[in-house]
Amino acid sequence: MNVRLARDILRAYRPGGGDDQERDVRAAVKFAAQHPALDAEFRNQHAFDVALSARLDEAPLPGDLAVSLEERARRIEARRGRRFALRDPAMIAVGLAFLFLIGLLTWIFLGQMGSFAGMQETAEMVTTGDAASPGQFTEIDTKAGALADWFVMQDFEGFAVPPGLASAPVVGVRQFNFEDVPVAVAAVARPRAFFYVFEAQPLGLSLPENRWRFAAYGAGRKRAFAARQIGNMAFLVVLRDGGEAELKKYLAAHETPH
Amino acid sequence: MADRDAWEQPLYRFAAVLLRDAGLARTVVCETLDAAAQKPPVHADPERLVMLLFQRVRRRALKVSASAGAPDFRRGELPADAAAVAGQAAPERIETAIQALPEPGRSALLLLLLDAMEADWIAKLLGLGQAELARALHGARLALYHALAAPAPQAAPNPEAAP
Repeated sequence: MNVRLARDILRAYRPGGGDDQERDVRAAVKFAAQHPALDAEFRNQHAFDVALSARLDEAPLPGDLAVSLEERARRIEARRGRRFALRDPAMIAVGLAFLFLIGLLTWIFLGQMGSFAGMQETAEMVTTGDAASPGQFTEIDTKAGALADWFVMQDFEGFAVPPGLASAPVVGVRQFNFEDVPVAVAAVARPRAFFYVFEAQPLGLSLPENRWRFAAYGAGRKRAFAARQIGNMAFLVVLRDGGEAELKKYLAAHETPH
Repeated sequence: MADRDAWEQPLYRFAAVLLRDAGLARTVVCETLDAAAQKPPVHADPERLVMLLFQRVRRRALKVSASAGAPDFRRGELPADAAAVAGQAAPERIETAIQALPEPGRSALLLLLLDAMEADWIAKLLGLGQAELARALHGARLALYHALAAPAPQAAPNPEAAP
């Protein structure tokens, strides 16, 4: 523990005391107790937050609204619970065995083909995207991980990047439609690369969440993209200069442990 | 009734502050909850489910009510009278001042003050790392303090009320 880490932890301390049992919070509070300046800073911040929190809680919700919201929340929780209760252990075992068999056959089949479902459509989409001129991008100076809100403002939901690529420096953004599927593109400065994000299902893509799939495309199949899934969105990386080997090296350098 | 965390009330308060429109906040939250009941989010353990619902409400709120300008990562210490300033401010003024803060500090601080979720989940919701979340929160606190410490805006005079 050092001052910077302790300060970062304490700045996110909840005023209601809900974090008191968290190990890192306890360590940070203990550390602050030995550093008077940090301790005073934390106490002042906590008092400010407590006062604000109390003021925000003062106005009661209209009675009918509180009841209506609780009914809705309980409906969601009950639905979750029911789905869970249906998972009988024997059925789970049979289901898993069946899925494993299907998965194994699919893996063998696709492995033999050296491809995956939706690859062709995705390669066409990337080829279209790569053809964009610099003038088609909106200039921006930010990190890839901070783009979700920007795209939401442009009516594109679900822009996300894998954690290891969140700090990639982005200099341009654009959207286009490929076969009626909205595609968000971020142009990365170093190394020159494009990040593509789009809904996976309409292009028939079903990718692993924690593993990259690679595919060659373009003239002479010299270019390559790496793809993976984040929720229901597909995330693609294309290097402007380089093929699969360079792409693998780039991603390996930015991989974070799961 | 004490068998569950009533996360839906902070969800409504979150929407109400971001939108500054109780009716619209009610509509946004009810529609979000109804949609989630119809089609529950995948991989939804309880904490993730709550985070996703806040995320959906926030996205809708951002479309209606964009935040004011660039992120505020101002430095410096919170003045010693911060708690007193906050304690004296009317809830309405606090909500207006929070609504005027830039993102992502606005959402981060509001989620923290509403005790909506743990800091880790707030960071995930906003796509921030631990240090970035801390900076965003601190910048939002300083900006909020200065907004509340400034003299309260006077109501515009009503010319028809003059003798």
